[in-house]
Order: sequence, then structure tokens, then C-alpha cells
Amino acid sequence: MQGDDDHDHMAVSYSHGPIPIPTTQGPETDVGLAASGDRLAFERLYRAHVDRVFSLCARMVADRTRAEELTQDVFVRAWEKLHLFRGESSFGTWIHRLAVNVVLNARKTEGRRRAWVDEDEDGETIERTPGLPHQPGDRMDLEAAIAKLPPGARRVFTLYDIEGYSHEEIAETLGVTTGATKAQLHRARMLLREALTR
Amino acid sequence: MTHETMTCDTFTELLGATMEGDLDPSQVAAVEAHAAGCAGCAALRSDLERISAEASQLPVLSPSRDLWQGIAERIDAKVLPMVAPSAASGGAHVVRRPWLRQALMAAGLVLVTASVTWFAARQVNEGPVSRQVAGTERATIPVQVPVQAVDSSAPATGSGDAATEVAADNRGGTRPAVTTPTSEFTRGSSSRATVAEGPRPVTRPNPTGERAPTAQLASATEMPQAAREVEAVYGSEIQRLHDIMAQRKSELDPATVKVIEDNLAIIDSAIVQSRRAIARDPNSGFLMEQLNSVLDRKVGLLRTAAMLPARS
Repeated sequence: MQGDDDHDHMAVSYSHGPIPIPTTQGPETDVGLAASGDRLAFERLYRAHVDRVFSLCARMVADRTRAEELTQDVFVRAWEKLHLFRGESSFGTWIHRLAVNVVLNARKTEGRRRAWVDEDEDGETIERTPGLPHQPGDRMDLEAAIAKLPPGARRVFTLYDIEGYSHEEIAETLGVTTGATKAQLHRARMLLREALTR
Repeated sequence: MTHETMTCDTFTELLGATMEGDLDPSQVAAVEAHAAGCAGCAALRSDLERISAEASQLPVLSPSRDLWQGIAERIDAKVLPMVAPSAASGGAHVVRRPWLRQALMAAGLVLVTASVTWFAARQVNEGPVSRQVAGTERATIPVQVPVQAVDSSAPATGSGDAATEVAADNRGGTRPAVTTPTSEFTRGSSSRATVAEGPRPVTRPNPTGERAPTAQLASATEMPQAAREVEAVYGSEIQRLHDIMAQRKSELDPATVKVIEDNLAIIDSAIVQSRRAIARDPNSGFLMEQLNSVLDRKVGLLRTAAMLPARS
């Protein structure tokens, strides 16, 4: 991967691996413009993709406030790395993968964070939110239940069942085996079922 | 494995692989057969499949506020110029100049050590009583810049510094400016010999021994802003020292004065050369350091001279 040493190619240059600029108008045109330093074009890209990026962040970290911070981090990083985008996938796919990396890297630097959900990766149950009224028969909705999964299971479940990544992609991103991701996914589903049927 | 031997625990263990399609045909058959005969396990598989399907249909979430402003502020801080350096523009582009900070810091030291100048000025103002007269010996001036003899036939001497460069520029026989009756000290406070200002003529002896003015010096305004900033820092200090020397000239031994002026002329010539070089190559950190060094020497020489005891 190229380093950050080609800032002199803020204008699209075909001498160092061109960023394709389609002749038709649309999001991919904005990618080319944004790569050239066009902030307005980048803002259009932001507005087109912010919700999906935020959704990913919010579900992976189970914290909307933190997810908003991470979303900003994702787009700032996208701006910095846009000159590396070669159009081999759609921009949405590219920034989505970027978001996954940003979230995972943030977790590494932050370390383990205490939460009201048992952070123990071996947790067998999803705890209910302290303070929330609980009546027999109350069922937690799926979104709330996902937020209360153990972090490892939540990450895999979000990436696989919600975002549609393959086990191979998840394993490569997380640095684990597909066997580990499949085990986490099954565990997540089992925990969610338990929470949703209690 | 047959459905008769499969337990619910085994079914649960294989359920994940079943949903991933990782089982071989015989295992799939056994799982399906068990589910057909066990309502609990069938419900479990159904629930897990529904959870997976519902998850894929979850709506996209939106942040509670527009995040663009925060993003814009951060990327604005990292905006780089879109115009690449152009040869036609003479290299006028945004370039990192890490040496500029060092140059300005060095110039700043001049201000920090300006107490020397203040003390010298106080000596002048308080009259000869406060001055210490060290015997009848002529004061020597420890200078780093070698004194160039007036004799134009003398070979150039130097230590690789600006004086040597000046001498090298004068291999045609001319020498840098030397003491003349119109030395800087006699010009007094009006002297602003090497402060960053407009061009001034400098006399140099030609091969015939007569002195002729050189071509106009490179205008200080032709130098880049960085060089002008550095010289501005030195300028006021140098001016104050010149004023002091002008007031004290009559107190000092004439031979001492001549040595001072000869050395100043050499330094001034080196400053001129540095300015010209910087005007041609404004982004050279080396040349900026050279200018800084020469200006430092001038200040140092003037301060030393300003503190000399009066002749007895």
C-alpha cells in the first residue's frame, strides 16, 4: 500500500495509478472530484454514505455517541486515503471496509472498556439494562439485544448477519480463523434467541 | 450418524455448521431427520434462522446530528495546495522549511543576548569614569573572520567561511570592501550597513588600486520573506551596536578601529553574497544557515568592539 507521500497528486494524475473518473455524473464522479481535493464532492459522498457507516459503527460498538465519533473518524480517514481508492470495488464497499478497520483499531487503542454488559467473552447470557423496567414477559427487541451481546460475538454477528460479510472476510479482518468466527456467530445467535424469548 | 442416535446436544452443536452449509450430506440428513422428530430442536433452528434473516433487514441507523461540520474542520486542517510547484513561478510554492524555525531561533538568541549591547550603551552614556582602562596595551579583537590585507596582490586567506567565498569571488584581483575614510563608523548612526534594506553601493579596489563602486547589490526585497524576517531580527541589534561604535570611535585606538572596520567589510561582503545566493535559491536551508552565521558574526564583532576599553 502506498504511503502518504504522494500528496502532490491531489489533482488526478495518470502517471501514478489513475483514479478513474467516469464521464457520467454520479457518485463515482464525486469520488474522482473528491480525490482531487473537491470538498463539496466529498461532502456529497459523506451524505450518501454516512448512515450506513454510522449503522455499522453503532452496532459494532453498541454506543451511539461513540459511534458518531467513529463515523467522523471514518470519513476523515477516507479523505486522507481517497487517493488510494482504485475503483476496484464500489466506493460504498470501500468506505464500509474502512469503517470496520477504524472501529477495530479504535477498540485496540482504547483497550477493554467497562460496560454494563459483561465483557467476558465467555459470557453465557445477555444482561438486561440495569434500571430499565423488567416485567415478566417483556421481550427485548432485536436491536437492543444485539447491543448487549458480548463484544466479540456482537462484532461477528454485525459483520455477518447484518452487513453481509463472509466468514473469510471477517476472519481476515479480525485476524482469526473462520472456525472462530463461525463459533462466535453461532454463540451470538443463541444468546439473542435466549434474550428474545425470555 | 443417524437421527436415532443424534441427541439434542449434538443437534445444537451442529446447528451452526448446518446453517453455514458446512456439513456433508450424511450429516445434513441426520440433522434434518432429528429436527423432524424433535419439536424443541426444530424450534431452535427456526428461531436462529429468523434472527439471521431479521438482522439482514434491520434498518439503517442515522446519527443524532449532522456530523459534517466536525469532519470538515478536521480535513480543512490537512488541506494541501492543489497547485503543484511550477518552474515558471520560480519555485514559489508551499514548501516545508524546517530550517526556518532554527534560523529564527538563532536570530532570537541575538535578542536574548542583547543585554551585552545594553551594557555597552550604558558605558557610553555614563562617560569615561566607569570604563576600565586595561593598561596601555592596545586591545586585541578576537575575531573569527580573518582580516584581509588591503594589498590586492595578497593571496586569499580564510577558513572556508564567507570571507573565503568572497575571496574566491574576487580571483580577478579585486578584493572585498576595505576601510575607507567613509567607513561605517564615521557615517555614524545613519549607517545601516547590512540591515535588510534596499541596495547600496559598495566600493571595491580595482586592479589599478582605485576604488570603484560595484554593481548594485541584490535588493533585500528580492529575498524571500524568511530571509527578511531573519535579517529584521538582527537589524535592530546591529543598528544599536553601530550607534555605540560611532560614539566610541574617537576613544579607541585608530589601529583597532581599522581592524574592526576591515573585518566588518569582509562580513558585509559575505552577507551580500549570501543574500544574492538566497535570492536565486530561496528554499535553500544551507544558504539560510550561512546568512544566519554571518549575521551572528557581525553582531559578535560589534559587541566585542563596543566593549573595548578606551585607549589610554
